[in-house]
Amino acid sequence: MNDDLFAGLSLLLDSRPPQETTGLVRSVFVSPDQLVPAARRLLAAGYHLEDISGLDTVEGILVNYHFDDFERPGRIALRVLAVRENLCLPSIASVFGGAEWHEREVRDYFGVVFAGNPNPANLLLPAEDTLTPLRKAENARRTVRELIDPGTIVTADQQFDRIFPPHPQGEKTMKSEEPA
Amino acid sequence: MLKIIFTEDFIRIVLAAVSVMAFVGANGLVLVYMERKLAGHIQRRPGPYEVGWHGLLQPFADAGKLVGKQLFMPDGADALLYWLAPLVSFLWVLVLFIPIPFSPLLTAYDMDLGLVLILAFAGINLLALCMAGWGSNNKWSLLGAARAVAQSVAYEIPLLLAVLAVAFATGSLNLSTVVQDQGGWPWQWNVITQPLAFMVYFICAVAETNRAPFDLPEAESELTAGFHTEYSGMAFGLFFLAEYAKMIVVCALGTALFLGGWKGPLFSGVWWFLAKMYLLLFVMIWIRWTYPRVRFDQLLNINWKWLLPISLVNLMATALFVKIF
Amino acid sequence: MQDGLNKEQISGDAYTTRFAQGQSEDTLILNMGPQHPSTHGVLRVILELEGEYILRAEPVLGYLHRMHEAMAENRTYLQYMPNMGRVDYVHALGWNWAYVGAVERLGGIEVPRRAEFIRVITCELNRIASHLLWWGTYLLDLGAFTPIMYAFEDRERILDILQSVSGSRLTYSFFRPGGVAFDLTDDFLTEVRAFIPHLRNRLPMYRALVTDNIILRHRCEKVGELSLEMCRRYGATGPVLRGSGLPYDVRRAEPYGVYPELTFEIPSEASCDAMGRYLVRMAELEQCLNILDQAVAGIPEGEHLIKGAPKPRWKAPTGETYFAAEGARGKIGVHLVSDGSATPYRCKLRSPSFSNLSLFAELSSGILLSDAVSILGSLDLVIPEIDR
Repeated sequence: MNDDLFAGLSLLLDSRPPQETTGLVRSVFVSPDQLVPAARRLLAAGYHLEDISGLDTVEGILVNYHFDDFERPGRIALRVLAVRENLCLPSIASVFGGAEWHEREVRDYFGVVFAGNPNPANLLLPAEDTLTPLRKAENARRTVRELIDPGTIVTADQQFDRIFPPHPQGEKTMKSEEPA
Repeated sequence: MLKIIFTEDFIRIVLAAVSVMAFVGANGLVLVYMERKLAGHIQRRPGPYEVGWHGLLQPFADAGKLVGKQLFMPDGADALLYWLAPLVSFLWVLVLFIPIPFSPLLTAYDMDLGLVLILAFAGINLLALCMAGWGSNNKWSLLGAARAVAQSVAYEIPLLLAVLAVAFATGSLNLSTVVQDQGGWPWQWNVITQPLAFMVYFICAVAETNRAPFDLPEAESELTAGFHTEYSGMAFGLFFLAEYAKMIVVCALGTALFLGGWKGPLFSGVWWFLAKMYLLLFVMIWIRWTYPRVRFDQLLNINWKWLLPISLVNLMATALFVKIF
Repeated sequence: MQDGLNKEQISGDAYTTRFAQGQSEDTLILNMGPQHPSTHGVLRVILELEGEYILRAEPVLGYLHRMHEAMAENRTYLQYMPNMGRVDYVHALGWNWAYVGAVERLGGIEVPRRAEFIRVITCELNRIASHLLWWGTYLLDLGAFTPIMYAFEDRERILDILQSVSGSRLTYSFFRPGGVAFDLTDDFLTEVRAFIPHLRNRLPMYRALVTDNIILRHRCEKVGELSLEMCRRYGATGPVLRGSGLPYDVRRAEPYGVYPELTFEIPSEASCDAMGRYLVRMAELEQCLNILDQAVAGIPEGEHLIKGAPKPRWKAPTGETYFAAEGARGKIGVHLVSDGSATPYRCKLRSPSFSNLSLFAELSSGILLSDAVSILGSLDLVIPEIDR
């Protein structure tokens, strides 16, 4: 795995999660504007898109892009947050053609709109349907820090703590009683 | 008027038409059973088994089922074309049986141009396919009909050339003469003197009857059922019967032209004819259940690049041979 | 029959009207499916045809969508096991493994060695059954009606063997986090040992009669040429990828179970076409038999389920995990996120057929309709896995 794969891009967090328990070798948080450049780097480095998986959290919908390499296996999770006020992210379908369907699925399930997706119709849910089945009730949501263990942190931007605030008591497993 | 009705020829033709219909009907039943049994055994299963001893009464059950089904027409279909198509498909095939010499006595009408009659009327089937394809108001049927037309038209040409080669060698277009010209023993049959023509003829016969591996017009897995998708009940039954009748015609013609017709080493007669005809039918059924389907452009390629040149060369060689010797 | 000519009169649902907006002159818009003999399952493909040539194709999904991922959030970890048998029922044990692998990774659960061997044996038998079904139905699509009967005869034996140990013939929920549900029966290994030479003897017949058949070769060679670069962009894996020259297999890339101890090759073909994918799957049948030989010979005594395996209302530790297994169709992935309660927070199912089918639209422009049927068959799609 190439450490300067994302050289030149501003990452919110770059870390090495424990591979034994998470199945990932690298976990990268980016802001939406860095998403397409990051995807381009990954395509150029020979990665393939495994899937795009959404996660409904307190801070918003966290969209996880999983990439892996055929020749040098090692899974990378690229994570972008879509805030609840603006559930919109740029589409990487121009880079990875397979993303078109994955993004449509995330839109079906979570309501996140991917700007630039060539065919933004419902994929799995009935046409014109606006259910978002995988969104959670407010009291069932957890924070990103509770759910995702970054592991060994390589670089961290200050923005990261602002977007994903740590729990006041510093414990990941307890749900915060005050609004985060 | 009465003079026309009671001439020997007229009565003969009427009797022939009735017996041909009976023959085709009976053979259709036998063929349905034979096809299903053979398909079963090739596929390692017994085939029809329940109805009658070893499924012998199955064709009657099939016929009963087809007759008993509701006849309906899809929305927006052209009624005239839709209902005429199966009739046109079936009735015309009966005409094709007239020149075929089942035995010296059992020839419906001994024509000097028997071969020409058969080849000419064989093309009417295309009309029926077009009517079915267009009249069904179904895009899949249309595609199937378009494919069928292209296929039939293309494969008629090598068929004609192969048959003509035999006619050249014999010197007559009269089927009875062609049979008389051959002997009873296999080495005296035309298949020995005209092997290429036989091969071309048989391949074209399989293609003309829309049987696998050339069954694109009815490709079940691509076009649902091609041009007869929208038909049910006896309308489908008529298409079905027409296909079997056509199979019988081409195999009967092949027997007369290439395999010595009704002549046999001992006891020449209609039973030899039927035996040889059924041998050819058996091979046709065997091929269907063994090979996958040929793609459409490949099918036309086989025709234009292989069958046509071979049959042309064969015809030239035959003509040369006949002229010199 | 005016549909193809007058755009305002296109009748059809939202997807058809949307598709028809890009229609060119003198073309026919046709729906292949969702009821169609050769779209395996309820797949619908909207085609724009010019004669026999496809200008555009768009698969429409969702006809078999059951929202498995929402079901995961409403069931406990053990209650969700039967769902895994229904996602891809043709290679159900592959999905079983992907899911229990994810749960075990999340919970740090060990698996006894005997259970690992049982998993390998049953999963490889399932893989053989899946490939046989693919083979029979692919040839049925191409017009050969007989091979499916032979394939299903062999498949019956496998289904009987697997039924004796798991209780199901098709939709297995045989694996459990920490092992497998039941131990092997006495005659299981005898049956497997009898089956392996039986199939080995059949494969040359299949090769001689079908694989070497010239008509089949002409239907599959040079059809659906799929470059490696395209596989990367769409995430195609499994025999689709291996038929394009890259021998990538999750069992070697991210080893799990006892696969590191077993010797087997990863067949690949460089031809990138449907014939390449066909040959890869036929070669994989041989390799599965090799793996079975070794596993049956090497299976130790022991437990089939670890003591302390998750009980019905087991709570997973908080965290996320991703586990990938090699299914008959490609890389099966399960992304599991837990919030420490008895039901998963999120269970994302990564289906190989989903990624494999997503490249069809790009692959199918300019090909013949018959080739589209051949390509769809060579991608080995199982629609319930795509729709989940």
